[in-house]
Amino acid sequence: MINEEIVIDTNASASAFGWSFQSNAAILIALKNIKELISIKVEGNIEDIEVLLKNNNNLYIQAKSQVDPTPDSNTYNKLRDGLKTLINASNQNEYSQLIYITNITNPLKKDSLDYYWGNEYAFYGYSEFNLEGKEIIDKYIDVATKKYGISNNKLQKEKLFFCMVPFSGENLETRHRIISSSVKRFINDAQLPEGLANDFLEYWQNIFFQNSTQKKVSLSKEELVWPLVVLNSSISEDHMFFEDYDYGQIAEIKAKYSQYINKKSEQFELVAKVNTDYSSFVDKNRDLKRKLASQKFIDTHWLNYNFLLDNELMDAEINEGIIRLILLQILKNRFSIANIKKAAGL
Amino acid sequence: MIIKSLEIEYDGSKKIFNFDENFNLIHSRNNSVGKSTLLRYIFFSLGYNIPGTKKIKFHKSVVTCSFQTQKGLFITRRENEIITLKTPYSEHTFILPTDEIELQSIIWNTNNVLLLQNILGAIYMDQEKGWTLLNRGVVIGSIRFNIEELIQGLSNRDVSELKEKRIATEIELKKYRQLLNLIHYKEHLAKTTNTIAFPNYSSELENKIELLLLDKKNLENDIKSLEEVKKENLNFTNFIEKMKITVFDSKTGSTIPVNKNTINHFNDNQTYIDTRYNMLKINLSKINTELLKLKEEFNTSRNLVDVQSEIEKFDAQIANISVNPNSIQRIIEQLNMNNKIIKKEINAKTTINNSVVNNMHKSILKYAKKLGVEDVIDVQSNYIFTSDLKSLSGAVLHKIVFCFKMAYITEIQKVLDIKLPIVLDSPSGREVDQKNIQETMNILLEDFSLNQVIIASIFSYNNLHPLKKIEIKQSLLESEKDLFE
Repeated sequence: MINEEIVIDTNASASAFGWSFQSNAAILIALKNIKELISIKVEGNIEDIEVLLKNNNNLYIQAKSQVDPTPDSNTYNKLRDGLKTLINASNQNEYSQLIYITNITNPLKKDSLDYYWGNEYAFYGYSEFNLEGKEIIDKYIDVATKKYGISNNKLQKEKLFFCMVPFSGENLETRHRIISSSVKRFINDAQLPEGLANDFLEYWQNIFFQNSTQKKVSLSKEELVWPLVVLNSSISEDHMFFEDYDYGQIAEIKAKYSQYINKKSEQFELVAKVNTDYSSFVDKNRDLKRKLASQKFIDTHWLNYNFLLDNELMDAEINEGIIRLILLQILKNRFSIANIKKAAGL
Repeated sequence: MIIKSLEIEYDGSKKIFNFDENFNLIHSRNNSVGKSTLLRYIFFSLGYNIPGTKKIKFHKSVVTCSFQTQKGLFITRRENEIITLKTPYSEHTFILPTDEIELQSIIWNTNNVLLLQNILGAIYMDQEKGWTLLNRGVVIGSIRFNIEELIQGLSNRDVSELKEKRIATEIELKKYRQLLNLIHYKEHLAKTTNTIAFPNYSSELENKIELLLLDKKNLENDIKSLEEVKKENLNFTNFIEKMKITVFDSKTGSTIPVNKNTINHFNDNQTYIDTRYNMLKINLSKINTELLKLKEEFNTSRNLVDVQSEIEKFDAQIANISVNPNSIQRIIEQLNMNNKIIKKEINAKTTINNSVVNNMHKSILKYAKKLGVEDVIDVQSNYIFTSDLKSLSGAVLHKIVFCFKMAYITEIQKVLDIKLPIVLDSPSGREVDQKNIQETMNILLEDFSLNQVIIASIFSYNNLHPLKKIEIKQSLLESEKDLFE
């Protein structure tokens, strides 16, 4: 009895691990192809991960993982099964790449191939392997087609790729380090604060894990990257904006008015007005750098927006703070939208 | 006062008993035929709250009593709680027990409430309680006797204010003692049980749930507000699109219609809203999942609490009481002191320089000598307040009680200036022998020859003279015919 329970338990955590690897691999592949990306599907109809790129370029990706990434007796079974579904995918649709992605440190389990793999993300096409490597792949393509009785007529080996992503360890920071650095790179490209990376990754992982029974997840590029704008829009207390305010005032503004500030900065009427005002301000002050420009714009223009809060009962400083925050948020969103679009090729 | 006659109507039968003004003996050969019942009926008919017996329910009977007073012949007629009193000059109806004192003040011709409340205990010796009731206690049913009160009444000493004070102190004492009991109980709980931690677990969960609900509410507000903004924005652009505005681009020479797709930043703005909306929804669903889990946990934990017994819930509440037991103890000590002082004051006010006390003591001594029990009685006059009855054996107590009662009667008669009827139920019962009876009867013959005496007994008191004998054969309400059979 006890043994049975342990087996079940291990399977459950192993399958959770597998799902985690699969979704993180999807994010990673999406980020690697972000400029060309149109959408991404996890647990798609054809493959574990299906990536649709511009010009009708499809990537079909098979993810195989092990809690302990050291190659073992199962490594070739995984390779065989992985190749089987990839061949299967090749029979069903046009594709630009078939990718076998794994965390197994030596995916082809051959010591002589050690130098191909390291501690980093590694991506090779079939043709890049030496003879030994190719032989192993060929062998298991053969095994898979024979064992499962499928045809490999449409399998183009030059479009077959092998990818290794280090993904192991109890410590999540360690386990997610490759995907994390990938997210950070994207955020840097979008000229956003690197601190958002964790929130962003967590948000994505939440999407994949929010419903454990319904694993199918399909996301467009917009759906993938836009949350960054939203994450970036929340203004933290140590923002330079708050330098002139004491903690009590900050707390009051955040507690009482954050919803109002959000609402106002989303109302298009106001958004359009602020953006237009800002554009003409920038036209007249071309010599100012962006950060300074927005600061100066707010300093000189906030009074024009006093109509937003015509409340004599409100403390004048708080009143000013709220208006300034609304303007700041609108401008901030405008910049981050522009930057993210550029970085993501939207 | 002389009881002349008593008419009893009960269960369809009716019987009149006539009494002589001297000695009356209600006699039967056997016990349990109704002698005591007849004696009780006498006082019942005078408005006293006397319980019936198993066989005869007093509240179902109608009794009429005629008795001679200084003011003439009085007749009472009692039916359950309603009693009418006919005097030579008036007729009143009284509702008992409310009007009891008023009725008795007419019967005994005094307004002295303390005296009225203690007459019965002096003149009536019930066979059960009467012969052991010395100076404090139950006469019969709920009627009590108290020597202090009697003396206060006899000597017109008013201690009512002190008494009220004492009652108030005692109520307070009672409360504090209860509180102290609770504290002791709490201490006991603290030592013996640790299961009272249950409710805290639920309340911790409750806190978590409350916080999450707060988050949830905020999220829902945000979502609602987003939906509003999105709608507002759409309305705004719909309004613009309806106007069919176009703009002219001078560089390319083309005409551009103004709509959602051509308005700068509009789609961005809406996408932003959609994205934030989705993100909030994801957060909301996360919170809902968490809430569901916590609520389940909470329900399980509350069920645990629910299956606790009432006493465990009580324990849990007691465990939360915070009172300093030492300060309660001090208050109780202080109240006890106060109470003692008040008691002393009442005592002093009742006894000091009170001729009634001395006279009573003298009478008691006198009768005790006659009955040969004078050595039992302390020479101190405050002996009449004794509460030490245990040292007295059955026969001695019987005699002492008799002495006390006769002393009471003597003093009451002085104040009321009338002769009281003396009603003795089975004076020869218990461990009393014929010699003792003889001695007591001698006292009656010598000192109370002008009083009406009504005795119920299975013995015949042949030395009492003149003696009216009322014979009961089988039952109290048997017809005259039965008697001759």
